[in-house]
Amino acid sequence: LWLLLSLRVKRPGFLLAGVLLAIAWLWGATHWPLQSLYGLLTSSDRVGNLALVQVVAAGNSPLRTAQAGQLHFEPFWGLLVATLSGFDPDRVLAIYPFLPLLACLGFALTLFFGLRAAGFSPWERVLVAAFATLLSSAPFEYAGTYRVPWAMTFLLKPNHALGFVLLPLLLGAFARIEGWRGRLGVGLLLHLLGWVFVIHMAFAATGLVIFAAWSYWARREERRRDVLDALSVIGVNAVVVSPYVAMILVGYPFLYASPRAMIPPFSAHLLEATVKQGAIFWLGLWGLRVLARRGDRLSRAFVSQVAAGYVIWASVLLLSALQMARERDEIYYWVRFLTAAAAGIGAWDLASRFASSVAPLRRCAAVLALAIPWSLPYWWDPLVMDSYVPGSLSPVPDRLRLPTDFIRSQIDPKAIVAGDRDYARYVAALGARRVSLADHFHAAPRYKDRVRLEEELVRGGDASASLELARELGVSYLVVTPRLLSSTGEALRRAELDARPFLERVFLWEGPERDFVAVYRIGARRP
Amino acid sequence: VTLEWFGSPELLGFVAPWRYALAALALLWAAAVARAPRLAAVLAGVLYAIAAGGFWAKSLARPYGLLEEAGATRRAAEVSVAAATGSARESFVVGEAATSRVFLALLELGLAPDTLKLLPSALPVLCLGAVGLIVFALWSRREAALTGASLWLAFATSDLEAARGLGVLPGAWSHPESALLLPALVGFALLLARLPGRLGAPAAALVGLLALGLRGAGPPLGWDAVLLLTLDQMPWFLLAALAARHVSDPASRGLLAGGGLVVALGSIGDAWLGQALFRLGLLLTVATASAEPLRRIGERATIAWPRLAGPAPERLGLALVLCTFVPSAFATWWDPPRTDPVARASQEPISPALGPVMSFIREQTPPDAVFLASPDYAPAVSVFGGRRVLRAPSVLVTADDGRRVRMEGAILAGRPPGDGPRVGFVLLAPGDFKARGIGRPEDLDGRPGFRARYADAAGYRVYEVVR
Repeated sequence: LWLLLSLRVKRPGFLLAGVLLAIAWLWGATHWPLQSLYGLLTSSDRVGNLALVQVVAAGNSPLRTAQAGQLHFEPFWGLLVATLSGFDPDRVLAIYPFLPLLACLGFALTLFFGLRAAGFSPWERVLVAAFATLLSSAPFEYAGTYRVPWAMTFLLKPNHALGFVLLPLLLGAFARIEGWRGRLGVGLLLHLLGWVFVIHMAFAATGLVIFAAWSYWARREERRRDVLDALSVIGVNAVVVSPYVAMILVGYPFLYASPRAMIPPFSAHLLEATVKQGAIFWLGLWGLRVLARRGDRLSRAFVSQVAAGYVIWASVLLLSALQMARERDEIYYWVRFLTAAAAGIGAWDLASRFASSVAPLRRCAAVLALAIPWSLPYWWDPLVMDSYVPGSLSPVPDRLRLPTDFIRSQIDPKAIVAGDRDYARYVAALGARRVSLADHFHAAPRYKDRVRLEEELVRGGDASASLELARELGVSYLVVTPRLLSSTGEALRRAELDARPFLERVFLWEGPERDFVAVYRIGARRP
Repeated sequence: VTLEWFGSPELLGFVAPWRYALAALALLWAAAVARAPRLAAVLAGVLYAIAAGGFWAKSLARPYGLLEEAGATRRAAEVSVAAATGSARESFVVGEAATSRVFLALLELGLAPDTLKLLPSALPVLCLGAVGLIVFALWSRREAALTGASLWLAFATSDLEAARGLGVLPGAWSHPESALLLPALVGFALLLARLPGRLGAPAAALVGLLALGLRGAGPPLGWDAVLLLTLDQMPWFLLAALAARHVSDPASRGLLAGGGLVVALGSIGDAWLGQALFRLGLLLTVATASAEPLRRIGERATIAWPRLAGPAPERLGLALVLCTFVPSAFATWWDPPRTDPVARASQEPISPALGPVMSFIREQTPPDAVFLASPDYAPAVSVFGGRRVLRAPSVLVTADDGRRVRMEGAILAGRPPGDGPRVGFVLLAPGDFKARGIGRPEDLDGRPGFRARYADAAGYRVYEVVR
């Protein structure tokens, strides 16, 4: 119906609005039945992501994670969401479900507006936006190695999706560089991408290197400028972002071998990101050929980014042999989204070749109409195809909600909470307070001391030494659950903790089957 | 029927190399289409189809769905009991009518029960390969037969209708009766379409309508049927619509009409079979008009890459289509353990501990004996022991189940009722009938009304009910 209406309105913006509506419908169809935040009860990624944001919204540094003292490798997202919420953790919980929608709409919009250049018609850019957002996933991808790119990027990790939102702006700005002011500006933009998601920054920088090398080896007339632009932008970025990169290297040592950092044995790696995409892959290749022949800077920059994606994807084989192939899903999604965007260009070119006499509006509408069966809104079945949806159909249980409501509203926003490390994830994500240690996070500094503090607080012992260690680590609260008590290996009961002179119980939730969550303030009891 | 099974679940460790091999097979097939004789070309396609479906059939640790899914278990149980007792009318639950008509008919035709146990698991291979060969051999459009067969072998299934649960390849396991009939129906339709005059298409459509005689699981209705017959069939729907403006083929029209009607009529027939016939009709329609486009593709490719010169342009065009799209085809990427819970459950082998007790039942009890066993074991008694059971509620709930529950209680209490089915034996396994006060299988030893007939180290006991 929208496509038919577009034949009367005759504006590319109207067709783009249809794409945005389709995205909104997808988001709505997925979120409408949910009773709790998408993935909150089932995805450690989502809990960790929300935790990172909440502690910033509570007034803590965006440079640190929810584990007190640990450096954070995606600081921009926490700061952005905290700012959007007015630094109010309650409001973060209210706006968080809408962020995936904004990220996906933003990606479509920046593709449309960021790729403005002489060679790109607005109709073509509508197709680029539509293909990248709606045709970058396939129906059975939910059972594949890396799962549905659209859901895993926009719904689960809107912070990473923000990198995709920035990329078209970066490419557009790069293509328009004239002089050192432009180089500095684009370098800073690339550095912003690093603050958003450093892995995307690395991909984009690789693309710029390929852009320069391609121009040089093809002996293009403007090769000197191309090389200078690319190297300057990367150089500015490297200078500005180097302290941050150093910080990451310190906080997240990732250059160690681990069997988990290997391609799974069931994954035919070289086929996964290529022919498995089906017609989109071939259309994408055609689109890249069209762009390469077009030869303008924006087109070449775009081709270079896709080429960088495939080069990195191939190099994962080598990294896997070294047991260092981490974050493989990120490069997979990068390849999928950019190839689909290129497929939009390929589709537009083919439509123009085979129906050159047809008006651009009708051509564009016809391509979109033909693409409907393969687009997400046609086949998306969230209950079957997104494992996080069934797990989000029930509300947050009282066990999580009531204690974290207390923590969020009653204890000092700067407080650090120790205790059950699984529960600690929710202390940060829903309670908006930093924790000493949490499951599924990288090891924090002074890890052994933190573990020792937990043990001493729970088992008892030298009270003054425990208090001294707690003071050193800044820990002022302890969350106790049956899981924490049983983890000590001793038959401890809650009453024993209640009797400790240095623990004051400030909250207790009791549930069925002797379940409980108790929050203790650490320190001498108040009279 | 024995516990013997040809499956090799360890194959699942080789999924990645196998996918590379399938992609390589697709390229080999394309090369054969370009340069080899027509028969060799179609056989290369059949080889791809056998590999694509055969890998997953071979990776099952038990026949698809056996003791995991009601339909598959009931079919195997009815065949096994019919083979042991010679009576195919009564189901494996005593007093109920048998429903596995196609498989029981094959049994009466002389197929061995063990073959019939194997057959449903091999149906994805049969559906692809046999239909491809039949199209190649019987379709009256000889000039397009290779293209038609190749399109079926490569694109019989695609993501959209498979996501709706009606893909040819994945659905062949869950619609075994229809899948067995599919090659036969296609063969009849192609033969009848050769009738002179205007009789061909209606005759082929009537063959398609034979699918109305079969009931399938969850047939689509209403809006789903519309989508299944239109958008789900893209791009073949569009290509066939374009082709139909230029050519007319009775077989294609008959299959489209017959298959489409079966889908549209919904609950009357098996929508899976209707969809398969409809898809074949679309592919054959496309094939009839494909010569010219394929020739153009071949010629342009030769101009762009002169090294490709040699084969007929039309064959080269088809080869290029195949080598471009088969590596991404549904069959290449089908992954039953991750998309089909029954296939996933079938990766678990049947406990070999069942072997001795089932051998005893099969060899040492009268063929017409009726067993009482717990819901967990009753289906196995029929499938592997070949004996009827009083109840098997996990597979078949009878209308008089309440009465049978009471009979079960009376028999286990040593007071077998005088009326109703005459239960002759009781199978007990550890943990069975605890709610009826039986702590261990040996608890019935020495109780009046029972005579111990079998015991083994795994804890299974068989008692004869003494009246």
